[in-house]
Amino acid sequence: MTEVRSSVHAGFLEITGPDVVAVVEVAERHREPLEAAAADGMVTLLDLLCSRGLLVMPSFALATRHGDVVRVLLRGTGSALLDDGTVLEAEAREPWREVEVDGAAATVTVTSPEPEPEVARGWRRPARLRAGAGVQESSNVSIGGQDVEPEVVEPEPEVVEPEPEVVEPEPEPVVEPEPEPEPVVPQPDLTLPPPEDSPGTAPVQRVAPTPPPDRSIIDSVPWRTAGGAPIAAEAPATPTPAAAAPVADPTPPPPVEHTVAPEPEPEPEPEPEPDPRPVEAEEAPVADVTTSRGSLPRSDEDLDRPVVLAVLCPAGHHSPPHAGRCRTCQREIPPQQPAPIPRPSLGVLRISTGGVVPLDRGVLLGRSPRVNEELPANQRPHLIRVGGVDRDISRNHAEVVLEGWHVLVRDLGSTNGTTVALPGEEPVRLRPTEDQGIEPGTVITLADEVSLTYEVEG
Amino acid sequence: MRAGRVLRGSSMLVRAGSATDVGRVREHNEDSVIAGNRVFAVADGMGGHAAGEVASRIVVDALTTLEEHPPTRPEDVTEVLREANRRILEAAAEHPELRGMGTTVTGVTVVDQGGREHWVVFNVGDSRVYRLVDNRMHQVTRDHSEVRELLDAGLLDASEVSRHPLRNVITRSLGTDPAPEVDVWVLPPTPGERFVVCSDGLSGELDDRDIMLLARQYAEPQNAADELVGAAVRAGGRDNVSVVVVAVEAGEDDDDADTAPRAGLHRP
Repeated sequence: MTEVRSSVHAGFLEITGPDVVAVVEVAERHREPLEAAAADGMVTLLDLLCSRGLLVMPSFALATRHGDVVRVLLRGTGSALLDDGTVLEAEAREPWREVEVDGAAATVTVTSPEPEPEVARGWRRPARLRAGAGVQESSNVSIGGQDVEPEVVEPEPEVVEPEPEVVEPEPEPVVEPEPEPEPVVPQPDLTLPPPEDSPGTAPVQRVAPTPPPDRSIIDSVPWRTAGGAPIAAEAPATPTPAAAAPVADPTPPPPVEHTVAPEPEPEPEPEPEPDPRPVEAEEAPVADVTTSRGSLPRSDEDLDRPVVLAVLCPAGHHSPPHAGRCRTCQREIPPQQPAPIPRPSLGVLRISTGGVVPLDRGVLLGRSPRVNEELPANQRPHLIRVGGVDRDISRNHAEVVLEGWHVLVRDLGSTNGTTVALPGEEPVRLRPTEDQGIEPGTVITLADEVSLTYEVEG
Repeated sequence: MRAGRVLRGSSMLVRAGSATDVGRVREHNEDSVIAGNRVFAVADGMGGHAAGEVASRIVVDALTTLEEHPPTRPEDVTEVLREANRRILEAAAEHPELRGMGTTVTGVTVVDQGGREHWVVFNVGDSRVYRLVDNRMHQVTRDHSEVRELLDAGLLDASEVSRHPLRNVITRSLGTDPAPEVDVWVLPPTPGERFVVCSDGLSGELDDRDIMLLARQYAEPQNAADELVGAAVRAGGRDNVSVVVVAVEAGEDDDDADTAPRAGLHRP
């Protein structure tokens, strides 16, 4: 019987279930949901991997036994090694390649690529990030930023609680400077007084933790707080010596150190001889000179936006793969290989009461829209306040969500409802938290009061 | 002292103050700042000699046009920044000594959305906009920097940032061809909120907690800006330090009451 094994390098996670073994290119914080899915079998694991759509599915290699044969599924940079030295690769098959290995093979090893400085495929991490990956055993490399967040839990939607406007009587100038020696833990979002239990997690790792007790945050947008977004490994608290009250530094200004632009092709594995002046024991300040990476080779994608596959029309507009005509100018698209790009703006929402909102990110609409303030900046939607004093529109009324190339509308359990009229069709009232895909020309109406038209401009 | 302006579509009064300092090490102040009636921004220039000053000044001058011709949509703000990018490239082409100059820009301005004025926060580079509300502070913008990407990738710990060899390398700036993508966030004004717009000379010297404490300690935005800059200079002043503090007067938020169900709207 063929034995199935795995071998993993930085950037990939090893996920094992009773009948499936996989390596997947996702960040460490996704391990838990993936393992839970793998415990239920190959199909459940695949289902989670493609939950954000096939286009943004991470690279993987997985093997599952089916009677005497071993089925191997390969995507992107995932590969499998047979004991006779044969290497199976995805060979750019989309969405994945499947190979059946018969019982003749003694072992099948699913494996991730060795981190190497060259970017082999478009949607992989930039080479310079991979090069540094050797530093850590299992690094938190994810594809296209945070957008492969497997959403696991779906807390039931709630209507926003009226927020008891916390008006702490605030003795204005009496914010006393912190006692000198108290080490201060830098935090991404600070409350006074700082919560006792706040772990000194590195800011980036604190992806939308549990809501702070004193606020009701967008309770009506369940997927945003889904599962409290598994928090990655907690970094040890790092006390900074900086005291709250600025202390005058008596030392004289030192020589100016100009930070040099890293020479092109650096592959910052360098760690150039550890900075001669370690900063902690800094006797004197040193000038910091900002450099633009413009001079450096631009090898990476824009990590701030999700990556989508796109084809180009003759006028240079991007459209989804398999689109016959350009989504912007309607020109016919010549046959071509789709390429991964940072997602362009998908159009605009034109508001009946004036204003145009770009769809370069999602949009939360309401009379007093609020999101979890701890959401990372690149996941935060535009917040648009709509509606008049008659309060027909709910505080968080509806949201426009971007998924790959798709624009979806959700009613957030609003009091007076949301309707969607696709072009040439009658308005349909949305059921709460149900997604409705929309196309250009669609009119979204909130509480029969304010409407928004989805437009793609030429 | 500025009286401030009232945001359309609400009764909220906005006031602002700004300060900038060359710091203790650099010879030139390459930062430029604008704190007008509707545009509040900081640009951190870079380039040899005085080129950085030129680049950041070009951007701030371009933003000044938004004071005279109020933007009607977020796209108008990004268009102004694209225009500034063109002007920087032109200036660099005409004057060889300015070649390679560039600048960050970040800030907040107002546009009309749905009949009410909304904030538009914009960013290119590693200058920052923080928002303070309800005794909390978070960074609205996302740094376009190497270390930010390394942090996101889990390849760097927050404690290592200040020593990292790439800490000053930014991944987007104005003065590049093609023009950089401008990050934009639209958000409604909230009574009592404050924005701190700053160059990395502030965020590099003070941690977020210090910034928050000082930014909220002084009722007058101008005093808050002065104190923030002073503190960063005393803490090291390794770079130019620039700060704009924007304050929305505290008051009632008319829109935060309960939604009224409307008779007749509930169709089966």
